[in-house]
Amino acid sequence: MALTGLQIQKLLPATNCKECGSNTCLAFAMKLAAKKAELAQCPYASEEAKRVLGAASEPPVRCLELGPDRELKLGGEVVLYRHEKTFVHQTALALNLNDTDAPESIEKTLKTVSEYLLERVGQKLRLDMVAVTQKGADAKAFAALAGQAQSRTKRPLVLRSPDVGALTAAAAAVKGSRSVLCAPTPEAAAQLWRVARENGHALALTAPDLNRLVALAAEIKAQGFNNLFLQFTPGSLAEQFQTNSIARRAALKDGCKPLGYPTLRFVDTGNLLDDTIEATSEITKYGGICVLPGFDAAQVASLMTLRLNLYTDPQKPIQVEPKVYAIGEPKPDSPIFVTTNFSLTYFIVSGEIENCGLSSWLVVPECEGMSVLTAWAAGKFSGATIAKFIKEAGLEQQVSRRELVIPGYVAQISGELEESLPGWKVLVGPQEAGDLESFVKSRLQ
Amino acid sequence: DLLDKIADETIATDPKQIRAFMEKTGHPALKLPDLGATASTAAKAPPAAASKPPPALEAAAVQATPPAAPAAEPKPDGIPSDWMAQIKAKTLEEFKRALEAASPEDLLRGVMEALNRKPAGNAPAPAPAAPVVAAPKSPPAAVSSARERLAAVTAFPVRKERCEVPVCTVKLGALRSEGGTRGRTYRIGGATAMPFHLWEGEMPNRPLVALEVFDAVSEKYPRVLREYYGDLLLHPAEMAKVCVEKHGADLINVRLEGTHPEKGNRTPEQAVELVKSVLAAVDVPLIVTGHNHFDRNNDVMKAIAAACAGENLLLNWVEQNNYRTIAGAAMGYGHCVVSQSPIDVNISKQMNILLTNMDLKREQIVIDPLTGAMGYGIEYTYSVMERIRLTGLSGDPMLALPIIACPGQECAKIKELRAAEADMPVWGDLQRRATLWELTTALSLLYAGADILIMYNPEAAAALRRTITRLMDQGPAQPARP
Repeated sequence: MALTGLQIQKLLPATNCKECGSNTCLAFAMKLAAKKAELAQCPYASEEAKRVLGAASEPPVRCLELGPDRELKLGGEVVLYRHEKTFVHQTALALNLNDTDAPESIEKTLKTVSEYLLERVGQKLRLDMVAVTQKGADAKAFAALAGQAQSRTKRPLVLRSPDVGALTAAAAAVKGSRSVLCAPTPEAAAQLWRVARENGHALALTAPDLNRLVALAAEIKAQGFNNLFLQFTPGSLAEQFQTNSIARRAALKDGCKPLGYPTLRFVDTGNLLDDTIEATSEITKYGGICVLPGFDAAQVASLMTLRLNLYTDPQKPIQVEPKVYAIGEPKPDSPIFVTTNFSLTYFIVSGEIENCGLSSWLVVPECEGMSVLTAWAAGKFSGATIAKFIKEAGLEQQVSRRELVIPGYVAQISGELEESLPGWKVLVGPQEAGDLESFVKSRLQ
Repeated sequence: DLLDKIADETIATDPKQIRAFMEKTGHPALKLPDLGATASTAAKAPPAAASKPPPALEAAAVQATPPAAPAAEPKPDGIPSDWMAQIKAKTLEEFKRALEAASPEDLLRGVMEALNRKPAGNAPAPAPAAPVVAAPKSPPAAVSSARERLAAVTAFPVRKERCEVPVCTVKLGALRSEGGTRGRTYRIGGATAMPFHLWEGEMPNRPLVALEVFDAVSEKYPRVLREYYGDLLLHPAEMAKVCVEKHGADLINVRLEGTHPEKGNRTPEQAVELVKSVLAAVDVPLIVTGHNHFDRNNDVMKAIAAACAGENLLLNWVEQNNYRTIAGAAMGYGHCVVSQSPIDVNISKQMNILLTNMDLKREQIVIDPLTGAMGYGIEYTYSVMERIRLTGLSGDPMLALPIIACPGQECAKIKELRAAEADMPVWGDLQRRATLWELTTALSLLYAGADILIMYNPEAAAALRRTITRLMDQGPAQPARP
């Protein structure tokens, strides 16, 4: 049960020595309660404080940092539904390599993982990991392939093999890459966690059912190793969906520590659509790492877009860069529209302009990511601010047309805008972007 | 001709205008005795039906039996006795007809649901002591492996959250015996937990997949989708048949964009003819979708509602600025409506209150929170849908309603369904991309609570349909499709 700042403060030395970075022990206690500080920052914390606070201050779902420079963060989630606060670390997507694959196909996959880049909303999206699976019998070849995969892609790996010895060799081959070893059985896990710890890797646990998996996780944590992933073994899509939900809820709401870890799943249904369905279920329902059997650009692009959308922080309105956008191939005399830099507004308006098949300029001033009406109400989307932006952007030099279409909901700013932009004529466009098409047909052509 | 006598805000806004309108149309109310005369007598008697009691209190609206005229109601002397006799006879006959049609299981489920449901619409009374009787479980087709395996979990307490108010059940379509012409009808809603949380609740009715046919195909309809249908697109009735028989659609949505004055200007009569042809071509329930030119849309929907009286169509859509006429038509001719709101939980609730205040039953309302395609704002709809469903289940009858989503139409607008692979190699093969984009959009909306998904891409629809069956974990399956 989370302790309040005051309860924590009683356990601290109360010397206000400031070595933890806070002015007073109470301030430090408040930070601890809000999980914004670690008890370890207080060098004088008593044993009792460590014992009591250790359990309480642990985040409900452990956050693991993978990759040579710890840049791939997984887990650390705090809510069941994104609107309650936000999802924090998006599901990592990996491509699988088998050591029995043909060399060209291995080369192709490694090249894809290194180079695939999808740009959306100004963000650069890449594949996060490579999985290396041993299907052959040669442990050394497996370890060599792991080394090659890591050096070529610079990504953390997921290492999967039925043979503990092969895994140990591969773990050593990629030491320091902070990868994930997949323990094939509970028994193998009992040995492999030491291998994982020595080489700085995490360990993915699996077991025939949830009862044994929970017991296994608790046991290994008790032995002092806590960098764990959970690899569920559902027998159906329904069970996958429900298990993910039950496990995450148990960790977040019922303090079930053994389920407080990110998950790992190998998707391999043999059918592109069904693979996509399982991967979508992992992205929407709390998946940690999702390994795809092979590469298909259409599949990866759609999964990455869904992931980007769901893991966007609902509290921070996502914005697009304020500037003059060219839709299609506009010429100096092409029509000019104005809207705000709230990404949803921008995308809908630009999408509708594109739909009209009309090359035009879209002026997007800085409105702190607010929608048209909200920005206007906040005084961020007025005649003055738009005129100022147009002058600063040097639009008048860029275009010959002196006619500007503003959104219908802010018709009231047309007078002020015309005063601030001498020589310009302001047209009041439709209130809804969906009506842009009929507006263009009737008023512009 | 009652409908032509409805005056909504577009016709009159103050008493004088209403009076003038009534005289012009010869409204029957003018012939009724002045209420003032009876006001004194009404004051003594308990408030007659005139003061609008919250809808659910009016009568135990047991879902399977039509709301019988409240017998205890004192006969307001305003209604001439022959009218009252007619009303009674008609209600009795309708009651008998519905009784024969409803299977015993439906009757029992209806009674159970009424027992579960708290009186809707007024302040939540303290939880009634009435025992929460679980709806009778129809024997699951096969012992489900997921339920069995998850029931065996003992290592930690598996939390089971009970809902305060189950999602309302809405019936789609009407069999011949019920005044319609459908060979099969469906129910949606009834869930007692979040979507597919089958370890803690039930989903008596699986979500449905609809495909769409058009009265006029817009030139912006993506080429990659034309390749599936070819010139079937120009023959909506035939296309509907293929969608049901070949692609396994549960419902057909007939889009009437062509009746928009700027997009074909087709007449209401042409719209009725089209809907009738689709009704004849398939045996599944229909959704009929209009457009945002309110005046023409209202005329078209009124004509269709009247011409297809009793078919229990799903009229798509009513919204804040335009709902009275279509909601009136739905009540008058026995249909359901889609209550649309612009990705906003509060406006959705307000919309449903406005509709139920018009005496439209909750069992006739499906919520459309509006969606953007993946990459174009789907996260806003995803969260609004989760909030609507969570709030509804936790005790708000005005939000505990089934939800409809239209991923097909939204995905058909975006560049990802048009750009050739050569122009956007990172987006991959266009055909596969179109299918996967619509499928992933639909799947996330399914997980957020959609009970009906209107699709365009037949491959995506089939995959979605397959996924729903798998997610239902062989729960109480709908009658298996032939």
